[in-house]
Amino acid sequence: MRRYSSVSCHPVIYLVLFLISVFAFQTSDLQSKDCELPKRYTETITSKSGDKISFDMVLIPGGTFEMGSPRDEPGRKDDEGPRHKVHVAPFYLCTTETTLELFLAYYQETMSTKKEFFSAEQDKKEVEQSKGDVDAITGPTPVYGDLTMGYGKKHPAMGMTWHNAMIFCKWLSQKTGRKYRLPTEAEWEYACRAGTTNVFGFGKDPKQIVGFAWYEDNSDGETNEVAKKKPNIWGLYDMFGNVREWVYDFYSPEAYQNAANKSPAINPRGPTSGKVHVARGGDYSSSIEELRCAARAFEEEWWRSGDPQIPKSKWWLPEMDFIGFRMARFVEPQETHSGK
Amino acid sequence: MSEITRKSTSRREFLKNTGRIAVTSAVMAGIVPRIYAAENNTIKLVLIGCGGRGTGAASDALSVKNGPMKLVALADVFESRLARSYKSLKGRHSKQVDVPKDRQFIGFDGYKKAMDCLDKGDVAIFATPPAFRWVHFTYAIKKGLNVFMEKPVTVDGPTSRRMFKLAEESKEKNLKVGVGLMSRHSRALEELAKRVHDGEIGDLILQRGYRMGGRACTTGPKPDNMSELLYEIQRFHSFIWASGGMYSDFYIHIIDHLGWMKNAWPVKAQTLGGRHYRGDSVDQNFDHYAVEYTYADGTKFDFDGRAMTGCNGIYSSYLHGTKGMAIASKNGDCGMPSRTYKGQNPEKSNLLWESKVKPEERNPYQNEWNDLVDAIRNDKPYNETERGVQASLVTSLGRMAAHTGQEITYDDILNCDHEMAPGLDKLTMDSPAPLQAGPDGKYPVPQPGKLKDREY
Repeated sequence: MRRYSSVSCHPVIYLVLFLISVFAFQTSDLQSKDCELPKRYTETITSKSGDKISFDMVLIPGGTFEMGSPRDEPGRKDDEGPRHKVHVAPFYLCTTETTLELFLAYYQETMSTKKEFFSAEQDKKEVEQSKGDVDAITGPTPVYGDLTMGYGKKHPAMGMTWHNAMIFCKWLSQKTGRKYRLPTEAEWEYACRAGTTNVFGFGKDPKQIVGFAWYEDNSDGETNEVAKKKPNIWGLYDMFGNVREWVYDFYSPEAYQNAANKSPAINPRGPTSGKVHVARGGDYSSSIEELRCAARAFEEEWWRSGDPQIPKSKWWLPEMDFIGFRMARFVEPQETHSGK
Repeated sequence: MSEITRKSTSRREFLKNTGRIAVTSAVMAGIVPRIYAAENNTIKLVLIGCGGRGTGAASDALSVKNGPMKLVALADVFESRLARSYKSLKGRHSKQVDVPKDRQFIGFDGYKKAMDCLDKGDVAIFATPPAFRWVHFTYAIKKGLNVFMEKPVTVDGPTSRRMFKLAEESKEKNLKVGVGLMSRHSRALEELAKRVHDGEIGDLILQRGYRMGGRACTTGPKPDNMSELLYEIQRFHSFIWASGGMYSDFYIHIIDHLGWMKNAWPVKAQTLGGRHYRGDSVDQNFDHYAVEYTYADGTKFDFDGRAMTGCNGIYSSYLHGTKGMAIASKNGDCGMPSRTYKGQNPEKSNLLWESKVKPEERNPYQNEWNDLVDAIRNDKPYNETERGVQASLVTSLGRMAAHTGQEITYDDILNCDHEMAPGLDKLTMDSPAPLQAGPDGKYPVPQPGKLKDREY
């Protein structure tokens, strides 16, 4: 009997504990103990060649917002609806798009040299490497052509696949001891809106965009160095234009319909499967409409048109200089409780 | 336009193009008109050379939308490559890939067996290293097959002379031949060429091209369990006889499309180059080249190539005219958009034109197949061989100038009698490799100024 009762009790206890923890977590979200967290911090890494490279992370307070666009928003597309409530927990987001400088450090440290020597040689090398470093990351294959595409080190990194961006985050996490990742589509839009409810996050007058964005009217058809325009209210540069930014989610035109069934959707991560991923924010060649906070885009077939091989590269989108990403980071439990 | 309407339109065009009378009489006679391949309108394909690029080309071929296409055979000298290629293609185009084990051919005679699976009017894809083009093309012409061949198509003078001759024969037989110089099928560059030829930026007085990126085309020593011949074929970028080396393989696209813009081929070149950081690699390439090509009218075309990790990277092409300038490839071999500007500064305020290409036409590798198959189905003149040989030869010319340290003219390279790999049509798995390593395991490298009439 004793045994029976203990077995039957456990699930209930677990359920209660779980509910308490969920509640506590949500309360801390909603009432925002964010004040205990550093509002921003600077991360500095040292590259293999000894260069110090820094980037700034800013705390995005948790909250609830309306994701998607209203039916009457000019330039709206169907996949931006229905507009629905989403709750996002606090997280850190990089103030800039990932720079070439930082991405080059990753490339140089992790590039797989398979193309240079025979695979047998390579395997041997990998075994040797993994002896010294259990978690050695096998990074991209050598890029076809040139990774910088002629751009300078403060320009955004570009032309990487979503997978490559994900492995970059893994590498950066290992290097810094903090868990970097891509933002979810909801986090991205939330950060872009920065607590506002209008079309662009800075106001309704599209003319103001010139102050915030590199896009078709002012870009000279190229990316520009990051953080050369005004940041949004939360200190984020180039959320509009310059390069599109990979986010975590798979793309589906029905994603919002599904999310709208739960109101609010809590920290949604998009469809569980799919073929291509979402890339937000428009790029240097985008029209104003593509820069709206709600505008969605995804990897299109022609993004692979510079890659004539099969299998297609897992790592690169040759010639595509309009697609990059920015890093996000979870607020880790010990930070929420003790500050940092 | 709805999907259905579009289909019926193309069906209508199809009837129009084949000719109503022919169709009527064929229907009356109870047979399908035999305007191309086989009993029905399916075009059969074989892939010879199953690496990543060949597999990509076959996939593009199977993606052409204007009628049924089917892959029926594969050939390679490496079993593993063939197996990988088969798996990828089967995965992507399951219903169009009909290549049972007995049509998967391994060995140096695989090309014949593969082409024997085709009928007149079908298409053979050549994606082996370029050295083998003339061997395979000779057989395709004999069999009356249409061909898609990857670039470059030759690597030296003697094989270029042979290929020019084959180009004539294939034209006489009305074969349709595509060459994988896909810039020619970039819709952006097509419009740029028209604008430049119409004088939008005046007379061209200078052209520039760059391919400067990380370390490339190196190779480690031959593994013990592999023959020298197969090793050189597998590492073809490292060996000049097989591929023309890094210079030919990497630079030909920009050289080709700038020649197109100029509407001429360079007549001579002088080139600087060297092997600065080759380290333990046993390949034959230099790691940097700077070539100055000269056209018959005296104007110059400068091309810089470098394969050094950590150096400034540029990969693009430019035209300068008496009235303005143009960016041909913004980034890559033919990266869009192309632009024209007034004056010599590519600033927004000087912009005259920027290419706008519909998403479905942005992939030049798909365009080149759509264009080739359209020509086959509708019997339009289509033979890119001669132009492909010219582009390959002009590329080899610049390379030879670097490797010999001499000024080389078009006629010099064309008439050069150094055939780097004679007898490729007679190779077997046991043949000696066309290039032999020295006692130190390294292969002969060019010696500019010492060897003046051959590259090694």
